[in-house]
Amino acid sequence: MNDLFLLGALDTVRKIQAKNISAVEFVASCLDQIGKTEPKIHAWVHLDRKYALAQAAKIDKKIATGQKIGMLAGVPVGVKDIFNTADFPTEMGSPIWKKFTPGNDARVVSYLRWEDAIIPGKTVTAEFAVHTPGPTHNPHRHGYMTGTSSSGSAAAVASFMVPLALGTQTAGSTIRPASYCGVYGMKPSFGMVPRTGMLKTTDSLDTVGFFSRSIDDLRLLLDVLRVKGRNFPYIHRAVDRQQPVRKNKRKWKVGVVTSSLWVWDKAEVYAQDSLRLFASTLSKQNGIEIQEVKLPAEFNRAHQIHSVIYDKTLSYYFKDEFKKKTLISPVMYEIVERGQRITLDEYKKALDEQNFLSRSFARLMDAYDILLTLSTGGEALKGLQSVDRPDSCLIWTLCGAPIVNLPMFIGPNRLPFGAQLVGRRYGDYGVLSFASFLVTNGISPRTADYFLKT
Amino acid sequence: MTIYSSESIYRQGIGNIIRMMISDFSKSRELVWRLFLRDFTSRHKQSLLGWLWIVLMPLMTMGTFLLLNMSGIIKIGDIDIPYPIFGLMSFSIWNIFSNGLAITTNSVTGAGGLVQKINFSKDSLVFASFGQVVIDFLIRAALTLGILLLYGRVPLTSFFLFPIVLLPLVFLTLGVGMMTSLLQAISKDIVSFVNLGTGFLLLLMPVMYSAEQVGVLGKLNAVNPLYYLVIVPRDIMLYGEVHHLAGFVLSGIFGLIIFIFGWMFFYLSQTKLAERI
Repeated sequence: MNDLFLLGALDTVRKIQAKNISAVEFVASCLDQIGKTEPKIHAWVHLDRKYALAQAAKIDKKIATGQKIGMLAGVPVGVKDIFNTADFPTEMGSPIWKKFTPGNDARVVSYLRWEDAIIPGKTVTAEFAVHTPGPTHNPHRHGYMTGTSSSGSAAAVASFMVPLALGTQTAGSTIRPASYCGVYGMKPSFGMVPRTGMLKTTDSLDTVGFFSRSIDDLRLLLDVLRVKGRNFPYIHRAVDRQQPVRKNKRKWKVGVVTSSLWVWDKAEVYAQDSLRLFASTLSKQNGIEIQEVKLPAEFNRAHQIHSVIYDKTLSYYFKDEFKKKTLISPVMYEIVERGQRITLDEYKKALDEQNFLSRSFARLMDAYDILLTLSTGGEALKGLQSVDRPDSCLIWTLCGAPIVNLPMFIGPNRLPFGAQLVGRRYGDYGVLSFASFLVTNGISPRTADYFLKT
Repeated sequence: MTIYSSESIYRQGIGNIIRMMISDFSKSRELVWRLFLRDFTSRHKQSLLGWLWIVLMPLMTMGTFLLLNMSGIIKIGDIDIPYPIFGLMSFSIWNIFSNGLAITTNSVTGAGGLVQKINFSKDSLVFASFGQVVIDFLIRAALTLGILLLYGRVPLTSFFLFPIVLLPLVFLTLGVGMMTSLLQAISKDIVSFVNLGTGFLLLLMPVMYSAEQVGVLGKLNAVNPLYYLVIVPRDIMLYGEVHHLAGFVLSGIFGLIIFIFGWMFFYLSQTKLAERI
């Protein structure tokens, strides 16, 4: 079977468990696909084929000897190059940290290994997971951007190199590349996934994100990576103890966010039309109650608040790199310089405003199960270094909300872009259930497979 | 560049920290047992008198008190049972606190190499070291029983309640011991202070004597939890009588609080131990 690489994570694990395929066969197939596509896409910054196959062989040996295998047995997972890994360098997209080996695994990487996932290497990140993109091309069109900063991870999943990949999001770094690459992407609620061993950029915003080609695979990854148990009292109360979200007894209450966001005005007309059309389709569905949402006025300041917090923390955490002006990008230099001018009082005020916004968002979400809006203002732009459209995800990141990108729209250049589903904080499984509801009932016009196999 | 590090344990809340302490202790039971066996087998190596020390210590203390009594320096007071029985039992109970405190205080610094080289639950060292005190007590209690029989007295049923009535004293000792073992890692003077303090307390409290508690001494002992935790169990075991029940219960609660606080103090600070030793 030469097309094993087309399988998703869940299907792969089932087939490996049932001994229909071996982990080595699957990993070899993915590596072949990487061999074919990587020269054009440049999704990986480190890759070790022999090591990946050796890890797979260990899984096969476990199965052969009747040992219990993990939830991700034999599934290769791309890891964004800002997570510590014991067996690969962690360079964070910067020449300053070339060949830097932290000597340990980030918590999420440990969790992946505990569940028998294969780590074949590290994926390309924007410099320090900020703005300056790496060399990755959009898998759907060479020479087009993938969206930063988790570009390598999104591209690797979109081009069938791996079924799953890890990213991060501080503004829109997971949802944006997922949208441009036509894959499912998820930014869980702030605090749901441990960040230990991950590059720090902004304490109150940094969140681990995932990429996959199906909703079920996103759920699988969330199950594996999220924190659980009594040691995490908030999550334990809000997630562990909650029963399955719904049993179709009540209609999904969906709020469509359009006019009230200033980023909406910056979106392409074709993108606005696509979302309106989709909202209109949704309104005709049984089981969905749809309403246009006007965000409270304080949300208009979201970008300014984000900018103060982001710039200030970057200027603090990257002060040493700032001194090496020739080794950091002009964009990074400018951000750090800007952050240094922000006073501590301004920073604290912005954090207070972030809290206020989160509370305001929580009140708003009393009336809705899901908010629906555009993941990006259109399809990917030409040129890897092109200046992107204003970020339409950071407002939700600021509120700590869970977000899922649904790949569903097509732009004028036949490139994909997505809609984002936003849920209540810690309502991650609810957002996944709604996404699943849309996909399984054929309401979502196209799935990731549509973009990826055509 | 900064990497996210583990979440601070202090943010877990007291309830969760206690759960983690118990869970870690449960996981390290085997280690506690192995450490105890190690201490047990090596305890009297290169010692001429060996296990005899367990008997000699109370005999020498009793002898000292008898000598002081005969010289009129102190009054042992009226005791309804032969002094060897009273003295041995009292010393055995007192030793749980005094020797328990000394041995737990030294337990962490005494295992310096182990603490520096291996990452393990350091409270195991404290619990394991306390095992030696338990052994001492059991041997001395058995000896007391033998002497009782020699004097033709039948031990009271209440004598065998010792695992219950001595528990508050054990808690207090372990709680204080946890704290002093950490302080010992900072300053080696701590164990000397502990020995000095327990020696002083032995004279201050009617452990080896049975004088009336009047004056300043009486007032001091009335507010001293250790007084109730030593005297009340002794009276229960030897006489089958319970005096100062309220004081015993309150002191027992105090002992439990000190134990939880001391253990938590130790648990939260133990990561800093390796660099201190």
